[in-house]
Amino acid sequence: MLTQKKLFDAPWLTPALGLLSVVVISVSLFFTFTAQPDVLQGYLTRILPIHVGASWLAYLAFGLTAVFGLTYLITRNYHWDRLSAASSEIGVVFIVLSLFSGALWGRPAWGAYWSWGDARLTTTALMLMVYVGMLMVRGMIEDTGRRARVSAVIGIVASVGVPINYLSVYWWSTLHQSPTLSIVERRSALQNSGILIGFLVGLLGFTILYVYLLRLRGQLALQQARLEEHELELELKGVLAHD
Amino acid sequence: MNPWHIIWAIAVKDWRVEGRARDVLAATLFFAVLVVTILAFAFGPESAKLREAAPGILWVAIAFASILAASRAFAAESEDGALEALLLYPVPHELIYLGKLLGNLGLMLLIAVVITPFTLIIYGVDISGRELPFGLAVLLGVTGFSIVSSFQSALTINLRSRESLLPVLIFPVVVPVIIASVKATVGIITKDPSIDVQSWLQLLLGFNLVYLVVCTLAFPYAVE
Repeated sequence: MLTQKKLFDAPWLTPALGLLSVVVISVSLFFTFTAQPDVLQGYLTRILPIHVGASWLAYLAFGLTAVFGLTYLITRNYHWDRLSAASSEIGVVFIVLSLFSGALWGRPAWGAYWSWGDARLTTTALMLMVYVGMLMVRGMIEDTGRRARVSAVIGIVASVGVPINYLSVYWWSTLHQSPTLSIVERRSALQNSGILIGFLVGLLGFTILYVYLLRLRGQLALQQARLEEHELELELKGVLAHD
Repeated sequence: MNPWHIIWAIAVKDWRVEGRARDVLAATLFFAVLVVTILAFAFGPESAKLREAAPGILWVAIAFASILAASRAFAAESEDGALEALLLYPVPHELIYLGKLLGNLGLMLLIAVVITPFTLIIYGVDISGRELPFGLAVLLGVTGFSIVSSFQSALTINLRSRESLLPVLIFPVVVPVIIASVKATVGIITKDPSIDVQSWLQLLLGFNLVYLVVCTLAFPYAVE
């Protein structure tokens, strides 16, 4: 147990994770770009490891935002609030990357950058809005306790909304059926082309990247909190000296 | 004390305040009428096109009105420490949320009762013989907006520029309500057999129940 904690707090762990994610994602890109062009989509599938990796990372980040938020509400330890905030920020960055790479792929594959008929696109955009709203609220509250509490509540309510949103948008779009490519088709296409290895390694790489970014952002937030505390102490001392 | 009495007392308090000042009702109703009218100009004068757009226009007006009303509902509580006093009452905070929700819902239903016939009349939509399912769809939709917007309004109380922030927090969450309400009302108006009105109404009911539970449980954390 002690050794585990020691390992977790080791200063070299964070940069090591960063390096590892670079290596693993590079390996994934190597497989992706050396693979034979896909039978159906040609060179288009080369964007998939990045696109799916970023989307997976965003889903992971938003899921954990709610988990960390709930843990904060139970334990009232700011450690969990910092992790929740870090996770939501990472999620926003990668969901933008996911939407952007998806749009680049969608133009040649579907003939349009954006399709309102697709359930996944629509819900992804809605998720982005929810979490940008959450970060805006965070930026507006100065009181640490209230900021942590309010963003934890938004994170939890949002995580309840995502599956409902997905289902409703899915039912909505099935009524206006549009020519979208199903995931099942994409998967079979990948197995043919051999990009699958790059794709799977990429998922691992993006997961490591998430852990790295979470640790990095969490440490930064901790230092910010300490700095604020320190400044407050100095100010208090200054006030006392004046009196 | 009976929980229903507590919920009722808080709702009646809000209605009494509204009955004396009428600032929420007047501003919100005027705003909703304005939205309905402006969209008529935006879509042009073709009556067939307008009739087709009417359900969507009605729900845009109700959604915006709901946000406006919810933001006003808690704005009054933020003055002179009213919310702190309300939270000091020896009752579970969950009931305070339900009371505020009932108060807001009452006002929203009043607005819906005016704005719905108004929209149907000026857009020339005929729902004779189907008033009951149409009324049910409006009731469920308005309740969905009210549940979410009352909660988010409590969450952002006392924040700078909360008026511009509230829509950002509310809209992504209530998208299922917008979709289901529009679908259900379109189905009722057009009698289109491809739209399963009953299952859209069930989605609305399910959404309302899930969010009623989640928001009620989360409310004590939102205001503590």
